[in-house]
Amino acid sequence: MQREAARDPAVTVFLAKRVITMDPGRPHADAVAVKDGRILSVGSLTTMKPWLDRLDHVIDETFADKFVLPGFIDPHTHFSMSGAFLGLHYVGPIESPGPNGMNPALTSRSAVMSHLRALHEGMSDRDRPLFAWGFDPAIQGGQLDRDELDLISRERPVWIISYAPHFVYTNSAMIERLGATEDLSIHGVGRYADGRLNGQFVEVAAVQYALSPFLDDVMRPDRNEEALRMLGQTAKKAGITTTADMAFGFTNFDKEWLEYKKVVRSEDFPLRMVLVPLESAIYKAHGDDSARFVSSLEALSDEKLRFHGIKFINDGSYPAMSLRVKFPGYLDGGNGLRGDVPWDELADRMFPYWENRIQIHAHANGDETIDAVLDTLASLQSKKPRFDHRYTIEHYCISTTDQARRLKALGGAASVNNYFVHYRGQIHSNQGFGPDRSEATARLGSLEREGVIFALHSDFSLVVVPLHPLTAVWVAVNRIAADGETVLAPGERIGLERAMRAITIDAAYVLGLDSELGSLEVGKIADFTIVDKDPFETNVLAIRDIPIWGTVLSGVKQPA
Amino acid sequence: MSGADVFDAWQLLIGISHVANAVRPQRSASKTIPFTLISGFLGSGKTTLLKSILEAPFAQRIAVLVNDFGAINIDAALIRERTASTIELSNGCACCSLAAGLTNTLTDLLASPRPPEAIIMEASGIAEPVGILHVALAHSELFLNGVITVVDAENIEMQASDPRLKSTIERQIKAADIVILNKADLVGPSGIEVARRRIRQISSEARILDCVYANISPQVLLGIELGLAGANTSAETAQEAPHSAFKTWTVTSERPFNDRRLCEFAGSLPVSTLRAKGFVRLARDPPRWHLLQVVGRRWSLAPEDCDIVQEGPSEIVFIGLPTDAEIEAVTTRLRACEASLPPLNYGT
Repeated sequence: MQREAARDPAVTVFLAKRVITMDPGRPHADAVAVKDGRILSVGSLTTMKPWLDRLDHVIDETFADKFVLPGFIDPHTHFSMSGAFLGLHYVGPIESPGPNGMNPALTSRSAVMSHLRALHEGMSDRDRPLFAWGFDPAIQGGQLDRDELDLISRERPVWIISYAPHFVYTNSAMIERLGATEDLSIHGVGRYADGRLNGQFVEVAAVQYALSPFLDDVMRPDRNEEALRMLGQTAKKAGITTTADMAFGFTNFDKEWLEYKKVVRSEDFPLRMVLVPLESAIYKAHGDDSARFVSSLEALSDEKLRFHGIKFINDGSYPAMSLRVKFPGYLDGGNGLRGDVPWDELADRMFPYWENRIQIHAHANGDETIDAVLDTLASLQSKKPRFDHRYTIEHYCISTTDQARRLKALGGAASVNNYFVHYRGQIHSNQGFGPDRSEATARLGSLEREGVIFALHSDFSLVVVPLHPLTAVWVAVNRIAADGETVLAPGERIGLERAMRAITIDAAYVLGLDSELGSLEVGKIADFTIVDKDPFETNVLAIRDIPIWGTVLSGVKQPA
Repeated sequence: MSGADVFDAWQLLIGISHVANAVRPQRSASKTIPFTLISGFLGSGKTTLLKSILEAPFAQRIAVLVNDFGAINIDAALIRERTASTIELSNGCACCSLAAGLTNTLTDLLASPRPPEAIIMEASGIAEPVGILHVALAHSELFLNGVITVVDAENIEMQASDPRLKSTIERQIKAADIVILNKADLVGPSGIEVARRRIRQISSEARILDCVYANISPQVLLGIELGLAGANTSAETAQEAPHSAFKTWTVTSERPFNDRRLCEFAGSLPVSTLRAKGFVRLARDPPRWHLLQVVGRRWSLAPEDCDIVQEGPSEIVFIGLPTDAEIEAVTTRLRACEASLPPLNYGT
């Protein structure tokens, strides 16, 4: 690819049905010219003439009937923790997000069986086990067993874990792989009437036993690299050109760095990545020297893979119902978890970063936690006042209107997981948070009214939502619940322009990259998302369905 | 969607993958540390129970993992050292915050210079207990010592018939090996009977203990005093059972057992038996000792890879609240598992 680039003329001009720049001053264009991976000019062949007269160029008409947008940015994902997705198929009874968009609902036994058969036939390596999750015996026709799964394959090991994680089902080949013999003395191993193992593993001890092939698969030496490559493709299909791992070093700093370096910097990897180290992991290794260590990481960065900022985790998760809320607590009277840095020590732990101009990303899902991280920001400001610090509250799921105003006053930003409005807003009206807070999940309207800059993110794959920025936009402008009709907290909807900014230029802002990415302006990196329809002229209810052709990364086409 | 949620399965898969990535390459430890999960609704008395466990005079170093330090009001005189994430007690126990997440907390504890000899974890009221177990037990040092669910005798009827609470309380009781029916004094004998019947409906095999102020001997509850540092100590320590109502008895056998029959026996003890533990010989593998452990309806039978070959009979210690007739029946049934007798039919 490099050789080709060297032979090619210096400039490529991409013609489009329309270029949507997200530069409010010059919102639309017909063409974008790229030189050395950067934008040379945005306009039309006519307006670009002064450049084109002076430079060798080629005209690329691939996108002549398509729409060119700035490359989408998901500023908060967890790719290095997402290895479990690799080769894990879904056979559940309800639609569920997966690495390739929505997994369809399989509502009958025959649908499950034919899906498994198709998966088996689509796999080339016969020894590679087929792992699936989400089976629900109550809806999908009762328990599976060994003889029935042998109908899928007698050679390929088949392994299925149920929806509520109480059962594992296997075929004969997987029983062999497990080394399970008929004299196996483990509580919960299922048997036919004649004593033969029936492939069902039901109690905790038996499920533990049956988990080992899955763990072995997760532990394959190249597994994480393979997963990163797959996630790169998943992201590209969703139109993403940049994403940030928002807890880098969570498992093992050095190992993760080697994996990212190898995969992201290889030429065929279609994503730019930002690594935001997790403070508690850094602190454990470097103690009081942590901020200096994080500063030193800049030397390892380049345009495609770079370190940026620091991440603090301050409460639990929204879908796990472990975030912290204020009065009146959870429906059951309980509350969630605080983070591993005590809140009253947070300002002291953050100050070295604040002082050294390292951007702080403060995870806060619930309103009690948002108060705590706002208090912390206030004390950082009184200790050493700063402008343009971009202290970003990550997730911002359950908030109050006054918190948006206070965040603005203190100069902070927000990166919001708003997918939950659609995927979980109604569930948590009845479980955990109660109706008021569940309906008002992700108060984007309040942030917009107060003038806080915010981005939208998926947190993929720690939570079960799709990695798909146009779906985030669809949720932001419609706030339609999982029932497909109820609009949750209508005053928290935002306009399309604002929502599109939140996956492009404003997402670049919260990663400190808005001078290089996020809009199509001269001098910026030439990352584009290519779509079949103009989102601004599409019915807002159909925005998430807009077909995505692929992306352009540093001027190089990346078809999906 | 019914009680089960797609997120439970996903959290489990992500959780065990994380454990596998973080921990697995570094070691392959044997399962030596008992792990006990304590669940129960807010207000059921779970915190009182955790506090009494922490303050009990165990011989072993126990780590109790809790969601919120502040909720447990530990006697200040017992506190030896306090950090942001741990309170160390003068009796050797430690109370650890789960704020860093289950996997990170366990990884740190197990990698510490003096890892705990037993771990007890508080499950959040909402969490799916089975999911937590799988993630915790992916740490290969841990074995499951039981799930204990604390139920509020006064409120169980209301909770189990409220459609919003029903599925949570049901899965807590279904997961339990031992159900503690707390606040028995507030409902009287007839109220206890109603509560017991309700719990039985949800889980016919649950072992139910009623008490006041969660006052159950932690040693008995956790089976820790049955801990077989050497097989010969069990009988004498058992006699010291501090909760007078509990009975312990020991059955010895000179003959090896048929393993299949022994497993069936272990899985079908009367609900008045709480725990059983002992080293046994099996006809299938006579040279090796096997460790049989039963808590509630859950059992395990695994070869014991100790170097010291001890001579002597198989010996199983039981603890529970049985009648004398039940003790006799259990003993007779255990004898029927000895290998020389004809096998039982499958499926019975």
